Amino acid sequence: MNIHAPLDSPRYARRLWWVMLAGCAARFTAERSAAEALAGFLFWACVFAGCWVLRGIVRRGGDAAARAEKAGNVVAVGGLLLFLLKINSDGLIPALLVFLFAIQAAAFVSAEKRLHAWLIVGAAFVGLLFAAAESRSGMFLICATWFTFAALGLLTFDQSRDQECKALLLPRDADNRSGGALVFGTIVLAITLPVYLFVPKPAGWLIGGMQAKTAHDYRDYPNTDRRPPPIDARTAGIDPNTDTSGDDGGAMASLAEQAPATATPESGAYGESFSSSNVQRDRGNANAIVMYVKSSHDVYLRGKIYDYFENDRWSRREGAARTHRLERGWLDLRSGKQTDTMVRQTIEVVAQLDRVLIHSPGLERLRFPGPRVRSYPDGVFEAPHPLLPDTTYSVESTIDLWRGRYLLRDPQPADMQPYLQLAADATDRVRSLASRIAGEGEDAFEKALLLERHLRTQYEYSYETIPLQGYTPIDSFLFETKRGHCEYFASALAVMLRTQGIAARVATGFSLGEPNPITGFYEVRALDGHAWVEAYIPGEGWLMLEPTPFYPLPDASPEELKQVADETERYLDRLAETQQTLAPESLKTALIVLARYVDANASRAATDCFRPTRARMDGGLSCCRRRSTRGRRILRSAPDHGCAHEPPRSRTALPKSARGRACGGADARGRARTRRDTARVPPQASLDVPRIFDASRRYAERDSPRVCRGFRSLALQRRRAHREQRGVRRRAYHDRDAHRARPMAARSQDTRSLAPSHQVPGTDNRQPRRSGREH
Amino acid sequence: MTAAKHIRLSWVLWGAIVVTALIAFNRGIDLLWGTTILLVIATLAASLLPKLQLHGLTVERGRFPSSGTVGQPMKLSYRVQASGWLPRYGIEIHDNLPALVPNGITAFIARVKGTQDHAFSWIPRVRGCWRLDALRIESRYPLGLTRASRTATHTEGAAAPELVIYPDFVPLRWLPLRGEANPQNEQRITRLRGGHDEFFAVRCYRPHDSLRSVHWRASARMGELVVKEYEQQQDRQLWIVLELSEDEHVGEGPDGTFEYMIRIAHSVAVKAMDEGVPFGLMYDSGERIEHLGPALDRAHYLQVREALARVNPHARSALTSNLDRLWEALPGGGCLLLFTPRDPRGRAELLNRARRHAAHPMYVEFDHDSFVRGERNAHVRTQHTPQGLVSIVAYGADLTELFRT
Repeated sequence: MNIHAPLDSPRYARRLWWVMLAGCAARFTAERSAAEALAGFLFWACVFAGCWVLRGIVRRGGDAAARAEKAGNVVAVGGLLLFLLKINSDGLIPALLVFLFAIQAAAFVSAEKRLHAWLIVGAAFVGLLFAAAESRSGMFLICATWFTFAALGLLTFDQSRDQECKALLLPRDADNRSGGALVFGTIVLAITLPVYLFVPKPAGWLIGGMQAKTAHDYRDYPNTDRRPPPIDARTAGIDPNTDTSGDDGGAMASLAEQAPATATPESGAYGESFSSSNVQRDRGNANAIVMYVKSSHDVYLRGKIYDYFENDRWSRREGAARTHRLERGWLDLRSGKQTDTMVRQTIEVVAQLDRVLIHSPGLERLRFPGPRVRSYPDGVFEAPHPLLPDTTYSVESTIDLWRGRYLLRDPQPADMQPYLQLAADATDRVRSLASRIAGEGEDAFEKALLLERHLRTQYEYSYETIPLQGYTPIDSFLFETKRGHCEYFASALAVMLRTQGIAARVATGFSLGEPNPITGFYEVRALDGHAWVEAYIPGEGWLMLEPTPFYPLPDASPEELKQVADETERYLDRLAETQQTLAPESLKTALIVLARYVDANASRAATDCFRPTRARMDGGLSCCRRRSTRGRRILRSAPDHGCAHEPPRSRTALPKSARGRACGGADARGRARTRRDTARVPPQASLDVPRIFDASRRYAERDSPRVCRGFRSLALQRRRAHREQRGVRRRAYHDRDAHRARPMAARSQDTRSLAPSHQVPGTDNRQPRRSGREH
Repeated sequence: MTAAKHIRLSWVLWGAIVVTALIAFNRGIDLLWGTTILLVIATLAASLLPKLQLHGLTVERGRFPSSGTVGQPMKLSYRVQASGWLPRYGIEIHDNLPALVPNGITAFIARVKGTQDHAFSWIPRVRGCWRLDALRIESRYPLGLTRASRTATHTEGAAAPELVIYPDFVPLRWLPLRGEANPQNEQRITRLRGGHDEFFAVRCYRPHDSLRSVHWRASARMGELVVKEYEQQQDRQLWIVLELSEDEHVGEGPDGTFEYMIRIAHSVAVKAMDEGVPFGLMYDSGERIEHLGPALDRAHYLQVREALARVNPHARSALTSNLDRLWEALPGGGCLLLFTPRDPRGRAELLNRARRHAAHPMYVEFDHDSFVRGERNAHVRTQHTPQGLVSIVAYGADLTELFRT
């Protein structure tokens, strides 16, 4: 292809414009703010449109090339000025991107040769790559598809035009369209999508990949020579009894002192900072994304640790803080200890947070965009200031998988008494219950597991107790209500462990959930705030225990080979579950449920095709799989589901492909599964629109009266039409007089018999979604 | 810019794949991983699609003339049949048509679905005779990364086996036959008719022979049409002698001296026929001296045109190096149009001997340097020399001014 050949067709300008616009749209999907993204896109769309007009103007008359070159130079100078303005305000990378767009615009105005067209496509592709690296939005896929069609359209047209110009014979018909770009783009995308979905992708090597950047200035601590502002309510002179907010309240209380305008309980704090009433009142913030995390392992993000329990409330004992000076942003705490798992995480803060650094436990290396960080003996790290949005930091942590649980191989604390402290009002029946359950255990580890299993199997997760957040009445939880959220479970387990002489503490932070299949990032939401227990096993270290059945047990297998299809399924499950929790009556819920159905049906055949050995990998679990479709099985405690084989001990006992599908009672993935039974859809190997319609209607009837009305009105219309047709046939073929002679009541009965069998479920008669299905 | 000429799209694509893959694998960015897959699939699909395109595709010649003339548009068509419901894109047809670029694309069809006749117009730029072998179809769709080629099914009788492109001619304004270059003298030249010449023989009728020349009695006697041939007066003949040795010519294709010579010869022949001067053509085919004519009828002109279309340069020695053979074949007297050789000695010898042999020799001398350098010069210099009239033709010369003194 002759790259010096002229752009001798006006179609080039149009196609180049579309390429630039698509690249621009893709780039702005990397913006966190939708308003900023839209504004930026519109600005550059107007610039490109203006350049198109300018290109048309300067090409009129003679000496068009010289005038076009001058106009292009003017545009380039304007881009240079924008670059200089942007580099002062936003930094180098955004300024370079602006310059990239300006270069495209200038080249577009003065483009004469195919080389210029190639340069424009290349520059737009660089913008696309930047967007691919930075975007966390699903809009990127749409823009990437757009760019694909536009760029392939241009290149295909260019190739076709080149060959056409080389041809000896001239076509006689004027309509000589050089088509095929749409077909080619469709072929490429149709192949790319399943390959992207089903080909396992390796984990990142992360060579030099520990990022740390921020748009803010994390200067040194406000008072470096003084002790840090108290985080613990007790050291701040506040009566521990008034620190009733538990993990979140404490953080928020201290946060309010340090940075009054930082966070609200819904947006800034970690832990389950909202109550169910908050969920009803402000669902948007509860589901707001707090941070994006790129993690090599599905490990909890730990924030604070609480060790003092009194009056049914937890608070934190503060130790001696140590300030670390970062060398070029690096903090290296590697001790050289032998561990199984190296966890690498990159955390991008989206909402304003406390100054506590959220990361996986066992931090060894930290890269943070600030001069210093402060650490506490319990492993909590603090930034100089509350973490602001657009801050990125990376950590490397070491954690062991020891007998099926995560273990932090930290040395034994000098003073273990605080971790054995019990409230003065601890009841004997708590002690006796713990003794009865843990009595069979021979050592601390077995006792801890027995207690954990007891809580996971005999108690039920519930959001109803969230309004009492920070207040954990263990006695009533263990013996009366037997329902609660994660704080109840964590508090109960910690206290029960302490009654057995096992040092324990409550850790708070976030669960990672499921990664977004499009971006690969874990979208940590305020809803993902969590509390769990760390128990000290003598001679080993701190053992992480998960007593809440809603959350799965740890999985330490490195996720080196992941499939986007699996991630999509899990992500949709979790999205539907969250959406049903926050807004069960919304149309969005019905749409997400519909998307889950489509995903399950569309990917099943392809999955079986791509992974024919799955049945072998599942082994003895096939009996469960026959009873259910992928991702739709009801997983409960072992006695309920009646499977004959022994449930696996943990998720790690299963191969990766079978993980999340095994039945296993308390060891199964609790949270996603417990909600999946609401979407009990019969398996379909192919898309069946009527079945999807019916399934969506069933969901809507159960979950959303408003959507239900829409579906029901459609169903009624269909039935009426059917009835009318049947009536016409009846009048034509049966005795008309006999039909008319029937009493009106009998005909009304007929009509009622044709009415929909599903009545409108009101709020009162609606079945609770989790009742009878939760642990 | 020199390096930019060697840039290939495939290199760019594979380079982009390597870069994005390295970044994606290093940082574990899923969207970059997806972008890498997209690039790989696009590149592989662009590499494989050309082969798939040609599957189930047949091409044959549709309406196809057997002859044409340089510079005059022709209409021809190809019938393309694509099996299946999938359309084909970017189909190149390679036919053995005379083209400036060898092995170039003959026709490009942007989209084919089902059976379609694609009509094309063509203005031949090169004269010659080409045998139309089986068609070859190629595809580089969509990005031109790879090329798939296949010989299309050739349907017998669907196309002419041979395509002859005749040379074009320019209307000469002056042709100083008998050495008269004055336009006023040209007006007194009367057309010669058959009756002024001596009867020579009868021969079989050939297409384009004038019906006036048919010898009806002899035709009735022999049972087939025969025509009368007259031996024309030698001093009123014009012989065009072609130099076919490739050593004597420079330049390529239509811009070379060889094609200039053919064009000039054709133009002189047309002018001679218009002027009523019997003309003949003589050239060394490499094996023997070929001569046509002299004659004045249209059939003879078509013979001469056909010969001018088919002659090609050969690697043998120049005609002037074997002048004895030439003079043996040439009748004495009359006009003689010669193309002077590049060698000055051969040129001098040719001029001397031609003057002795012919009554009115004319020479065309090419400015070879201008042809080599490609410098256009429209002016034609014509000068009288003791040996005859010499016109010096440069590259890009206005041939209508030939022999203008």
